[in-house]
Amino acid sequence: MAQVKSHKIVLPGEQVSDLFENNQNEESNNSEVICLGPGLLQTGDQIQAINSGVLRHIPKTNKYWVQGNKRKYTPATGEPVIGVITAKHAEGYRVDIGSAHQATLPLLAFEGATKRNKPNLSIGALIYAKVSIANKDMDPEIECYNSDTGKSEGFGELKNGFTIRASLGFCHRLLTSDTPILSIIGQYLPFEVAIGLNGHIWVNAGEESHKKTVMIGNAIENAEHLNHNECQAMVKELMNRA
Amino acid sequence: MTNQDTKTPNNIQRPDRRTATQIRPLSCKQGFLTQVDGSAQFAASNRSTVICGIYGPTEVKPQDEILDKAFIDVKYRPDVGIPGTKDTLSKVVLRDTFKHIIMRSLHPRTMIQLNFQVTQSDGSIEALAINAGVMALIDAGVPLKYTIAAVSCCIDVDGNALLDPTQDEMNDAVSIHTFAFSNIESDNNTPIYSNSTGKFSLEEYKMCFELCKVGANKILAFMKTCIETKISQLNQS
Repeated sequence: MAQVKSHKIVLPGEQVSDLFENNQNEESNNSEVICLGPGLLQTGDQIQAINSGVLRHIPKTNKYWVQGNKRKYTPATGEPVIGVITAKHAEGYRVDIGSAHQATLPLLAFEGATKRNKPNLSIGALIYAKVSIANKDMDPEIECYNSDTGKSEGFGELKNGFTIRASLGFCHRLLTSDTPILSIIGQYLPFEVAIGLNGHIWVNAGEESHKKTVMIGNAIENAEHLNHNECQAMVKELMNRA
Repeated sequence: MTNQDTKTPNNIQRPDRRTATQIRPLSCKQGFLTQVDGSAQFAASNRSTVICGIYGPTEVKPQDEILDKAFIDVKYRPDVGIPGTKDTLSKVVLRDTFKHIIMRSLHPRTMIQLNFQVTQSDGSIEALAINAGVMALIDAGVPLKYTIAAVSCCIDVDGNALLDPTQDEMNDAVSIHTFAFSNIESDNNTPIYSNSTGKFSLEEYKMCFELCKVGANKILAFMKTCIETKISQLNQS
């Protein structure tokens, strides 16, 4: 991952343009094009924060964004999400992914699906999918395959297992390698996990071990505010108790 | 009442040992409700407390749907009894205030619901509700144009302006004024919100305005400290 510089904490309404200029001097990065990510908005010649959080910056690409923590999901293109099928239509499924509007999952957006060979998912089924269209004025659309290769790449129905809810920031952190909890649990037990950036985490420790599945779920839920050593101690205690 | 009568002497001793221009010690807690998308509790000296919980942006009833904006729904419950006419007024006032600070066009065809619950009532509830609402919206990650802070001020029978009045002081007051200011420096002379009740002169109004501006800036600084403490605590782990 590119080097991320952490900066000061911003509140909605704060002007951040002057911070940019300071950074450009110290990085001696002459590129005048800057890229604004979530939480920042340009009004006229000023850039202001619209969310609170830490102002982050990648000097190499001149990207800026505000890293906050939310619990309500707003879809963004390319993000993996976990959803529940709520309805089936002629052309696709309606999927609850936790956003303001339900997502559409076309019947043909699966690996190997054709007009004759459609997937058969029942209402209430859990699916792991990728957001393909995210526009604030339209309902989001998701797909269970990579549309470039036609392969599922791990997306599809999630059978068995158990889902837990976590904050969106924690789900983002779990997907980066510097969050140790998943590998610590892996030292004790084999398990599968799917992380949706909509705040849902699916875990499965095998068909015969519901107890272990629930335990892993609890361990991940507990780990949100723990550091490496605390995670290790917490998992060790849970495993000893079991 | 003449101009000489209105003054803000610092030697006035109020019943709770504050000076006229002093606000009560504030406390704020964010994200403590588990079932909502964002929450905050804002209290003044643990005698006046408002809790705010936010749902949203979430699904909206078809009759409330706005094609290019988010619909703002406010529910307001007093500390005692069922909501009455006065509480409905507070609700409408809060709704109209938050309508202007939430970036509604970023979440079209959705609803953002703010639930206010007064848990302790000892004056300045109106201002505390605005502050609690802002902190809860920040916790929920709802996009805001700016952060605002509100504070009340009252003129007592002697013509003294008292900042952040208690319920007793409000009961005896001639007029009560509430202002909210944003954290945008160029806007510092334009209040986002202004509400006055009672009989007062222009001089008194101006004095309360200046007093509240100083008070609101203190509250804004407090809000910033609150959020900084919370985020740096999370980043330590």
